[in-house]
Amino acid sequence: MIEIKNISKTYSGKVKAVNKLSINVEDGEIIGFIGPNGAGKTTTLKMMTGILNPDEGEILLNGINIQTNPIEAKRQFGFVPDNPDVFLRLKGIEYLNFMADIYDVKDEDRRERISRIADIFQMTSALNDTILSYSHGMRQKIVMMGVLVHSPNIWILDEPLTGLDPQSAYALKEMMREHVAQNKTVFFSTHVLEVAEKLCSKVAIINKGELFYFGTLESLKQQYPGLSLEDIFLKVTNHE
Amino acid sequence: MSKYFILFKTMLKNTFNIIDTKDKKNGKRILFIVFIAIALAPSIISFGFLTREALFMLLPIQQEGLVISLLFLALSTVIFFMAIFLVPAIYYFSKDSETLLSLPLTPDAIVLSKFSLSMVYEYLTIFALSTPVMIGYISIMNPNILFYLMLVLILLTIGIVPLAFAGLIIMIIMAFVPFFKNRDFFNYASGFLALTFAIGINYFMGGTATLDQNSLIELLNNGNNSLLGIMRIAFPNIPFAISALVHLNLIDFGIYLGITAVILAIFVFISKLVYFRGVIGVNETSASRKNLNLKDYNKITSSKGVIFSYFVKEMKLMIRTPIYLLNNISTVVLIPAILAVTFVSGIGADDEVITLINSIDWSSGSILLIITFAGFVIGIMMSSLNLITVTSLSREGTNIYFMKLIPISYVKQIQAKILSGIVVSFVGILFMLVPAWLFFSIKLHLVFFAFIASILGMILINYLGMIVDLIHPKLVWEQETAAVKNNINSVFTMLPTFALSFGIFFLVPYVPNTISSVLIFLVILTAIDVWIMQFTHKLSIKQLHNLEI
Repeated sequence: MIEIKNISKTYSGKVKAVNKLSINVEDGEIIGFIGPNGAGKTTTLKMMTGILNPDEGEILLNGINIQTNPIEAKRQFGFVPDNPDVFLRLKGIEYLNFMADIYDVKDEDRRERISRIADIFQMTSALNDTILSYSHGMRQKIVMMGVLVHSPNIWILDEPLTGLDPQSAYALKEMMREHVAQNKTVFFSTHVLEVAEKLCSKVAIINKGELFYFGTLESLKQQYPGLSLEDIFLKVTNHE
Repeated sequence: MSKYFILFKTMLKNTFNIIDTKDKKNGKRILFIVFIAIALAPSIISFGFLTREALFMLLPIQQEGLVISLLFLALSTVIFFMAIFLVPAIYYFSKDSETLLSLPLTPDAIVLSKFSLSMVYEYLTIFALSTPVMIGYISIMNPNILFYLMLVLILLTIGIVPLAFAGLIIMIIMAFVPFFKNRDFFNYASGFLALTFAIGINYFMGGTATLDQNSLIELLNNGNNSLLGIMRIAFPNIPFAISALVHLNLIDFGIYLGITAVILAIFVFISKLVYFRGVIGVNETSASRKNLNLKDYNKITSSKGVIFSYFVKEMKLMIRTPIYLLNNISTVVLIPAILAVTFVSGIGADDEVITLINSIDWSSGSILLIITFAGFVIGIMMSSLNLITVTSLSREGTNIYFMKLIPISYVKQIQAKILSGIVVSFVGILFMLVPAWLFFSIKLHLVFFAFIASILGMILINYLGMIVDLIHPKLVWEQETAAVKNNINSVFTMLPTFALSFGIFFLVPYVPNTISSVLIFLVILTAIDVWIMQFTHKLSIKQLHNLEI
């Protein structure tokens, strides 16, 4: 469960990146966070994960406030950033084990998970190489695996499908569905409207730092009869 | 040519933008510059006075031009050696290389713009080295306006030849020696050569006596065969630059500019032929893509505990990044090795330090105070020279967000980072203390005091380094070198280390050489360490919480 209550963020005292944003995500929901470039998506995700501090408002993850109880709140989620270039000189397997150590994953659990996920993502033979030698897509996969290895309740993903090959993208989408089927939460940003359409139980549309719409796609479409999601998106984001 | 100007302008802008981002507040920046100026002032002033002293000695024998000769040869040599390391980073391994390759640009436009960027970097060195010497020179020689004009033009162009030579060597190596195209291998190999060179210089300098007027005349008489002569051949434009300034000779000045232009033209011509051959595919990394066997898999995936795992991660990243290995870890071996070589090569020479060291009765208890202080100095030196904690946040770069993301307290994370600095410093201390103990047959209890003092000094400087990096981390950089070598933060641990080292020995005559003095010193040091640890922990929570990137 994610509760974003009235958060705002201004950069350098001038640029308002996010303005009084509120979203309530129930357990068992996949939320697609969509908006044009520079709309405030990444800023919001960074505030949700404790990387940035909101100027006002609060964020609760499974009821735990990320600002007043950061350590416990950070245990609730796994985050995949938009740039997967982390710890490039560690081997894939070393990175995963490091993540497992950080989240106190038991030896037998981490072994089973790494081997299973590596198989799904076709990364088994790459685990013993440094991340530096990976392609962009492989780096994306290893960071995603770093999240899956500690099996968090909430997944927060910034453009998780960018750079993934079709098999891995399919596998990840399936995993997202399975995750919410267990009454857990996925919150991810995307530019690909088709993905949002097929995968999400609700979408949040943000433009110029303000939440324009939050709800099911069906009710959005009912507000704009006869328009495709793409048309609606363009109409909404061009609206002043 | 127009493409060259566009490229150079863009590169320059990009470089200065990076500098702008790292120092957001102008006030902070000015404070920094003032601090550095104050810190460097003593060396600049003493260099100026040294030049004046040398001139007073050289004027009677009409060899005043030697000052300019030495300056120009030193500038050319220093720029050449710096360029050997700078050229691969700028021409080949920089992040823009692949982007530029895909643009419709000729190799000489790329190389010339990168060459010009390197020139801008080198102006700082030229300015720093030549200012004190030239102020000293001008204050005595009172030259005319022609001298100033030629001097400015020469200083603006003196970097061209060494940069072109270094560029040619590197371009040819990169084009024709395949394994040098591996960035890591190149960094390891060039770093190893530099270290060998540093130890070698120390070995050969070991027996050099101080220069008096007679030996100076002797050196000048044998000038043709000297190092000076070799360097003059290496940089053929330099003799004309010297002659132009000393004799105010415009023809020699013209020849200087002519030779410089010809060498630059050769450089551009060769770059057209070989640059693309070397740079294409330079950032590729090899991988084995082999499955792990079950035994290794189980071994690697066993849990380690959070702080230890974090510490192991820090060490692995440091050891596997050549720039970090050479700058952070090699000091552990390098400094004891240089000292050992200096000592061994200096034995038998009439050197005051060696005589002093040999005159001390190392087995006696009367040196308790000195040896404790020496231990402290070893501890702080070995901790500040490895630059580990003082760059531990800077080395994260923009990935520092990871520290804010994980459910580990900031205090624990910085403790793990400090631990990596402490472990390396500790090994360095052992490499200094154990040979000293065995070589000088120092009594064990004295070594014990030195050891305790060194550990307390080690803690002090490692925590101080973390404070510096917490206050001013350098997070926006393109090359790893920028996080370590070109990081001003190291000055803030180096300077206190040098000040403490000199200060503490200045105190020796005023402190009674008793066990109680030593114990009071250790207790005070412990109290300072406890305070600085608590302060660092509090600061880390505040700084990392507020840090936004």
